[in-house]
Amino acid sequence: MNNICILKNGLAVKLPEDIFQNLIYDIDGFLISFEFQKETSFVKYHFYYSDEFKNIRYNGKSYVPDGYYLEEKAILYFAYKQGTAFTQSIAPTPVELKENYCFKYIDFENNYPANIDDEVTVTSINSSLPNFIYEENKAVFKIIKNVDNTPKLYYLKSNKKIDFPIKNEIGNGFVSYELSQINDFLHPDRDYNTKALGYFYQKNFSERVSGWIATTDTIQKMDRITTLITLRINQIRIEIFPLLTDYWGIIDGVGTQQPGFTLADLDTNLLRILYEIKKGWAMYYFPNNPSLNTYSPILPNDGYYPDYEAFSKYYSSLVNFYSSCYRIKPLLLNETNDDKKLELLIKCLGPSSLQVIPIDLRIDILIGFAKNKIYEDKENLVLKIIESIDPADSTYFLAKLQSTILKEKNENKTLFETLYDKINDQILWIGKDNRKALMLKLFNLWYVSEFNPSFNTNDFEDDVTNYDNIELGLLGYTSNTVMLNYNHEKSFGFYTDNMSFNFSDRKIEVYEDKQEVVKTSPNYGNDYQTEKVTTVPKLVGTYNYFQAISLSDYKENDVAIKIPLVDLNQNGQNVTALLPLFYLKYMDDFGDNEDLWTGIGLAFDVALTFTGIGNLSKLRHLRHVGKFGRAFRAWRTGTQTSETLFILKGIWSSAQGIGALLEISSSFVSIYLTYTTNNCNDYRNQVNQNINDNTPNGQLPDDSAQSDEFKRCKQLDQILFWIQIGSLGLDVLASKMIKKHARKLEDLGYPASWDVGDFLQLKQKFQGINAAGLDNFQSFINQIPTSFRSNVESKLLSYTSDQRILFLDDFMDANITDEFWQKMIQNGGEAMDNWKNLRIHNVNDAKSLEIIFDTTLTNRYTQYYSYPSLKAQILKFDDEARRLFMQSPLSQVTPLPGTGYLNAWLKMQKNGTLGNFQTESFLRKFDDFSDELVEKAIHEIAHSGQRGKDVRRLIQANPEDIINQLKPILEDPYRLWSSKELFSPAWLRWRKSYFFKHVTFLGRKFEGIVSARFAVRNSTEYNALQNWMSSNSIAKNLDDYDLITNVQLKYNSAGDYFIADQVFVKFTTDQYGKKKISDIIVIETKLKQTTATSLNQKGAINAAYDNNFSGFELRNNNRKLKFEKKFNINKTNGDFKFDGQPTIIKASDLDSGDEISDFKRLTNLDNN
Amino acid sequence: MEITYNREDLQAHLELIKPAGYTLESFENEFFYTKQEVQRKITITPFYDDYFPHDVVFSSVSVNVLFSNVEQIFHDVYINNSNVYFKHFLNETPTFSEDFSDVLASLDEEKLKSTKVFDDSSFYIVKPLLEQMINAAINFITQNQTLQNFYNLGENMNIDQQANFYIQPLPERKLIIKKLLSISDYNNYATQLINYYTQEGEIQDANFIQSLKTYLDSL
Repeated sequence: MNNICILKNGLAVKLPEDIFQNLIYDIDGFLISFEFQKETSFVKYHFYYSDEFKNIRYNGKSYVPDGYYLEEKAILYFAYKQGTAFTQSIAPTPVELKENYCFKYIDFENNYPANIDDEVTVTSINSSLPNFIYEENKAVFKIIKNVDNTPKLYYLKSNKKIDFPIKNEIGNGFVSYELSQINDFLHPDRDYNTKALGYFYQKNFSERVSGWIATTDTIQKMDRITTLITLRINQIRIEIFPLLTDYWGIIDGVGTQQPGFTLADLDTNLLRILYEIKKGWAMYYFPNNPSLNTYSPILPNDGYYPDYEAFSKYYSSLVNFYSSCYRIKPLLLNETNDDKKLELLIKCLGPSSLQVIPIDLRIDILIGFAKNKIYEDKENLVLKIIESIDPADSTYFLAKLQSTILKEKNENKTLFETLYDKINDQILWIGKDNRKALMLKLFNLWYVSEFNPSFNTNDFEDDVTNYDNIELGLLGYTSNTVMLNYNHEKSFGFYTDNMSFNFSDRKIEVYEDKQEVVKTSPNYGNDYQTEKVTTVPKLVGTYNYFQAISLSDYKENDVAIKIPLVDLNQNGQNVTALLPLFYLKYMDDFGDNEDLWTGIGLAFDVALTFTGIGNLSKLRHLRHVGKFGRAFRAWRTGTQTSETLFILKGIWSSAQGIGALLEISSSFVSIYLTYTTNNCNDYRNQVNQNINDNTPNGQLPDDSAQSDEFKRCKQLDQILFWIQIGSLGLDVLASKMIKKHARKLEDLGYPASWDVGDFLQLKQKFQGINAAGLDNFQSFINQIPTSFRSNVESKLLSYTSDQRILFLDDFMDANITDEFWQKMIQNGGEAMDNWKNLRIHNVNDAKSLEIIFDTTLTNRYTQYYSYPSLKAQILKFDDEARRLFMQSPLSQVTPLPGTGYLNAWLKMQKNGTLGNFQTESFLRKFDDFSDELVEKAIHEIAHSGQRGKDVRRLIQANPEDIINQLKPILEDPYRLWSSKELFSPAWLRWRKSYFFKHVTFLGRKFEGIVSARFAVRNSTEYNALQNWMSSNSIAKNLDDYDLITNVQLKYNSAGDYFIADQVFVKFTTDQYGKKKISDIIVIETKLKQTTATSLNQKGAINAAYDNNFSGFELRNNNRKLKFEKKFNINKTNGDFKFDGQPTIIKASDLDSGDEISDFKRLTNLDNN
Repeated sequence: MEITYNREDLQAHLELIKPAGYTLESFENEFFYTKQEVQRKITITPFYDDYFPHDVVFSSVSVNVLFSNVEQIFHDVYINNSNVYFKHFLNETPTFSEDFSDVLASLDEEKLKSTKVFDDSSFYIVKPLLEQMINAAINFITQNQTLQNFYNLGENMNIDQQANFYIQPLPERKLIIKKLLSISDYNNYATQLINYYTQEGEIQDANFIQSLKTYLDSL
């Protein structure tokens, strides 16, 4: 047997079934993929366009023509073009692709030509029509040749489709042609599944569309993509679902809440997931069933603006799901393992729906992936699964990544490491962003996990004794922070120069490059050299993946690089920059490749290090680095200097005055080291015994039963440690810890030897530290430089104690200088009073020096904050925007209760349109605008292109237009139908443009159709209305009525009116020719039964049912009757005034705008 | 590219087929051509349903003729008897109305009603048809200049046709015209009307006609 098919270039071929298998056609009917027998096996060819071979390695050009290529090779080529994982020796060159791996058209033509009169059947689908309509073309025709006997190419250049005959003409080979328009498969009368798709479409698109601000074009696009999604879901339902399980009866039983079915019946994850999918696709939505009448649309909706991208993405994922399932159909059918099937399903689920899968199962899925190569599709799944982890599960999940061990090639690796490696190895060629995405996603999880100390309130508690057990610490450690002295001003080079990180037994080993003198053979260099200096990496510590690293003194604005901090601002306080060690490793491994750090001037001063507090023994290397290292070396060589190592700080203050008192200097360290070296031998011996290379995680010696001297040594050791840490930059924490240990030291009592010589300094220093009492108010005052002290003190003492504490809090981290205090106390402490004033008004920006040093600005803040509505509004601003606003001339205006202008200011400031509009006369026009209206208005103002330009020009010329022109139309675009005289002609172009979006052609089409059909007696629609009236006890004969359309009817003396789409009017003419209206039937055409009546329609209906109804009166000038053409209804003559009880009927359509599906009588009851 | 067809577009198109001597006027979305003559005001109205901003669909052209002397009398009485179901606007409410869609061949009429006018080219499809009807209207009012002409036209119609030809309320207008033209059955007609509407219980009409007769008799 042979298959006759059409190649992508239109060539008709005859492919023998034994050597061409698995033929796949695209929706236009072209063959796009096949398997071809090569020797004993089949290889797959796929059609690719030339563009797909564009390659940056070839200057972005493609040297490969359209054609059928060996899929395996083509994919290698694509891979090579994207990354660095493949070398050219693996990937084919364009020439090789063309010459060796292409199934050329000429080979088809020579070896597998279709013969004249071979019959070919082509099926193509046009699914681009909205509203669930798609067309299926099925053409059968016989192969013909061109007149010159060359093969005819069945290819239409105009639309890139197959050129098949659709009617019989001489010599065109026509056999048959069918065009079937399939538009009823979603009809509600069909089975509940297909009806559900109608609801899916309705809920995800139709019911949202009226709220969208979008061009008609966009709405049509949205309609089309939703239709495609719906069609695709239907295909999946029909073709794929049956492959997935045999237990649909159970799933549907649960879904439709049949008696006896409960969720517990879904006893495998697969069943539960299938249930969730069907639910998400509205298949268990039954609006008339009270227990099944809720459905949340699953496609994303961003308020006013339809998200085509997201819809499109969802569509792609459905297509992927469908096609991948389709391709593995035989596998699926034979696959009895629910988990494998599950894996397939995950592909079409969003991360949030993945949460239906228990976390352990998700981890199992990750393990499953990690055991194999992680190819492109699975790599997306990894990301998707990680994205699906709820913050509440983050700690558990991360710990699992670290504690789950996989065996690979006799090597044990953690799940974390495996994913890291595989994604590193395998994903590189797919795209760099995926690995970065993985790391960022893990970072995000880490940030909200317990591994992140900033999420914990323990405030670096000193439970050193527990730190040593890292195994315990894995799940529990919350206080460990490893510090990096980060100082971009001191450029010691990139940290990658001297640090490296290796995975090792569930941890990361941190190495630092050290310079060492090594022996060398005498002949090296010259005969006399026996030593040389070389750089060797020295292990400085082994830490958890999730160990928090702190970058001390990191300031967000310091450097261009942004460490991916999720949210540095916790409860209004800036948290120290933190990042997990694994991320540092990642940056070290790939940062340069990925432009994370390079090229942006970042320098990490890593002369410094990590300290795992849980691993104190490893910290000894600190003695060799940084300032402390210099002090250490100086001490050894007896050349100590007075270099300041660091300044002990109050936890809440960095007042300069403290420096003189509590400075830790190089010379002090020397004394300290001398003492510990000479006096702490017992302690040191025991430390060495407990903690050595064999027992790196050993404990510090227990000193409870030891002598005071021993205890003192331990405290001194820890102080020494913290001095090192302090010298590395994290002075606030170090200060606190030193204070703590200094107090313990004092409790032990100072040894007699500390009373003489250098050691006296030691004692005095610690006494000083303790005496400083750093955390009380008075010591804060004492740190204020004397020239300002009394002024500040008296001012602060006049405040309440709460305010004093607030003051300390607000300025504890500030870089307080003499200038600061000078400014604080000048003019009788005006700035301090400003601060207080702001605090009284609960202005959280009170710590901003920029504000408190500026009384005018302060007053503006307090003024605004005095109005609750304005405050609420301005609190929505970020700090900077708020300050900008307060500094703008606008804030000088006495605040009024209207808040719209604030909103407008913010939005315009954000989108850069504020410019010339930053004036009171302009912005105050927005006072009464709701948030929604401001949003709409600014959207128009900022609109790119001519429309926005017009709006900006017009409102600049006449700001009143914001209220008179812009607002009414934004509020109710339909006013344009009727109230043109209100509007300025200058706004015409904008109105047209805006209006256009809101009046759909569909509605116009339906109204037009109804008007036209009602105008024909006994048309289907006419009869439908008549029959409906008869069966609803409306005893009126339409034949007695004439018809007018598009009628404006006034319904009250105020002149309010509504537009009736059609009005049936019954006239009576007496014997003297007086013609009067005796009855009317008003028809409202609505595209949907659910479309709400407009405000004016409601008004009209209510009026008509009011006892004092004054009648409907024509507002149009003239209306022409549809049946009696000679008669005009004329507004000036009272021809049309009807004060009887009108009948008002809503005629609604199914959606398509071309048939009436339903009628409903409207009464005032409907409006209440 | 968003294509809209709005009031302003329609106005531009209607200017193109404006008959000589006429002014294009508008009320809301409706346009009409007017011409003030010594004793009468002519209004030629192209009829259409507007679906702004999409399109407009024309259906016919009518002419309204306002005879000032008739309407002045009507109005004089109306202002003292305005508690009626109909309305009257001086120099606006016309006296007669005639439609000209029947001058089109039925195929052309179909074409007119099925053409959505939304741009120049679609307007040019209906333009000749509109012009044909406008020309017929112009001919009609040229040929029928006097009130007598119009009265005669009406008298040749059956009562249903007259009900369309006269602006309603017909009996009131016809009574005025009979008086102005000194038609012999004026008195008889008035009496018949008053009796009829009294009997029918249509007191508003009966009273109005009575007032009208009193007024006419006083002229």
